[in-house]
Amino acid sequence: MSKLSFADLERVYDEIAESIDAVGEAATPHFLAKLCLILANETGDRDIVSRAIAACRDEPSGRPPARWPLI
Amino acid sequence: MPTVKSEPTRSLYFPYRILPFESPPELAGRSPRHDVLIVGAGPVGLTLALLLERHGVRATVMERNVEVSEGSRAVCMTRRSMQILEMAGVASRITDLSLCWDSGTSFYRNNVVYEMRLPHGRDDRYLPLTNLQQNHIEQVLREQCCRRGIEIRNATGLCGIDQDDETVRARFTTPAGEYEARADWLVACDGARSTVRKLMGLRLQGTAYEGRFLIIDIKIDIDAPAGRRAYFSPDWLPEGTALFHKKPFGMWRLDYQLPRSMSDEQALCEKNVRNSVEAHLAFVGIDADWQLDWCSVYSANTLTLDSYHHDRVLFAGDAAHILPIFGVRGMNTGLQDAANLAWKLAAVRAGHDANRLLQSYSAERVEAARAICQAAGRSTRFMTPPSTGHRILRDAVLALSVDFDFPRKLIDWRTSGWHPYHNSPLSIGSFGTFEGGPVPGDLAPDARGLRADGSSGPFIFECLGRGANLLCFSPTAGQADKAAEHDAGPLPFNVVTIGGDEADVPDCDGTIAARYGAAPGCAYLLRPDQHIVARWSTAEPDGIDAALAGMMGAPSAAEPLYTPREAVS
Repeated sequence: MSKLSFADLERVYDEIAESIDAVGEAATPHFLAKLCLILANETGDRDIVSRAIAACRDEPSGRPPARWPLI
Repeated sequence: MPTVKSEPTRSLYFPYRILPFESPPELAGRSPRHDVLIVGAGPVGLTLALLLERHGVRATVMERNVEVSEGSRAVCMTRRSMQILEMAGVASRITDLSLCWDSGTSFYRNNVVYEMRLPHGRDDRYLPLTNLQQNHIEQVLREQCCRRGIEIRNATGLCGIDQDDETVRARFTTPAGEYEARADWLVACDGARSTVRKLMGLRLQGTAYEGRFLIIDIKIDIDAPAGRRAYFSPDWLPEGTALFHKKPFGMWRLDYQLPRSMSDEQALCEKNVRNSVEAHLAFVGIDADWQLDWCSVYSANTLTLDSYHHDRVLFAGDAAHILPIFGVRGMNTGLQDAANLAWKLAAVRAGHDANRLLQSYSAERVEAARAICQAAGRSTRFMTPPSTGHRILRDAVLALSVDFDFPRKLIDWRTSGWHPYHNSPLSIGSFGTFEGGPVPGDLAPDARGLRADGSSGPFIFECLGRGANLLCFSPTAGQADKAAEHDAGPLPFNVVTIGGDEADVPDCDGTIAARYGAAPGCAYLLRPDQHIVARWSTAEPDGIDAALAGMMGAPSAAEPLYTPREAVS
């Protein structure tokens, strides 16, 4: 379920992208880790955070093609 | 210099031929005055010529080349473009040759991340998108110009331009020598590398993006419907994006982003082109013979002139603005320029205040171009992330979209549509009370009639005249008679009734009235380009006369100075 409006999601996308460019590549992991911790604390729910972590670790790259041919 | 060419271009799907040069009267010592000179016989220039002819204005079209578009170039027309091409008299011929479609899929690696379906219903005469290669589009438009007696001068390249208060003087080089042509007006429709723009020293403003794309047209038999297919980070192009489009005549187009390190020459060399096609076909799992037809490089810029009106010279299409092609914004925006300009030039020819009407053309269309630049900038940043931050976010959205719905809409490519003229002085106002419905400046929504016996009636747009139109919803007999008495000056005025079975457009279940928020007695005034000038919940004859005058550029006391707003999303 979407909790941010689409316009807000677009704004968040731009704001994070621009912040990464502003802090520079070397400091990006540090910036993103701090951001995650603040947002995790804002949820107030450890299960939500754990599910989000699991979802982010599960990269879809190893899965079989969604359809074949891929057209 | 005009192109010198003796052999037609070879193509797997279009029968090119060398178009004849015919010596014009100017080279025989005569000096006719042209109403309008159009420089450039591309889709925009030819459509403008046909729309002008519909309003009784004869344009002469000057084209430096001796063939139609080399390669497929603009291939996709929106529903709005089809409505404009219908006014130009070519929509059915175009539809006969085209592939029409309404959906698209985005892939991330080998996953499906977004499926798009554009709305389409019984009120739509055309599918959301219509694919036909530009050479075919130009051929259809040229044939129509020929039927309408519009002169197209091939092998005629502009080399000089000069204007004073009364006349534009343009110099042209031809195989038979140079000459000067005089005209009341000149419209530059000569494309992204516009000679008119260069000769006048005008510069495009905006953002030039780094992303360059290679377009490759191949002939191949693939059993799949037409639609937009975008491949983000396919195995063969891990850092890039590829698009794969079906076109008529057994043709497909592969578009992909070039790595920064690759020059245009390297990209266009046959080995690279063939390897890319093979790699993409292997990635998507198609094993079929194919033939190479044409390839070209383009970049994703969002640029526009600040004004399209420079005294007696006007700009339209790519000569006025350069837009990224992923959102089908190039030709489709140009065709809307043509629809906006044609009736205004016709009114000016008949003696109406040139400055106000032509300024409104420039202001309305510059504002549209800026709005398109902003929307296009967003999809360009997604297709070709301009920085590390944008790339990281883009890839995160794609990866999450495999399993999560919430980020998927960020992948949407924001199809080009029509653009409203809400801020224009020609958008007069909304009078009385309405519940919903389109507002002044909007494009009037087309809709299909429905008779009491359940059969379909005509579409509203089929009943429109070529000038101003007043849509009258369930008028009383008196109202309908009064409505017919209005006068739109040099343009015809036409009344279209919408209501019961006896109306021009029967609306027996009231869905059209509901769509327009219209109670009985309501009226909408439409410009010749089908945008709304004003609406009344109860038609007011005096108000309609004033709105008609306002549409034709008459100043009104209360009117604020028109300054285009900054681009709106």
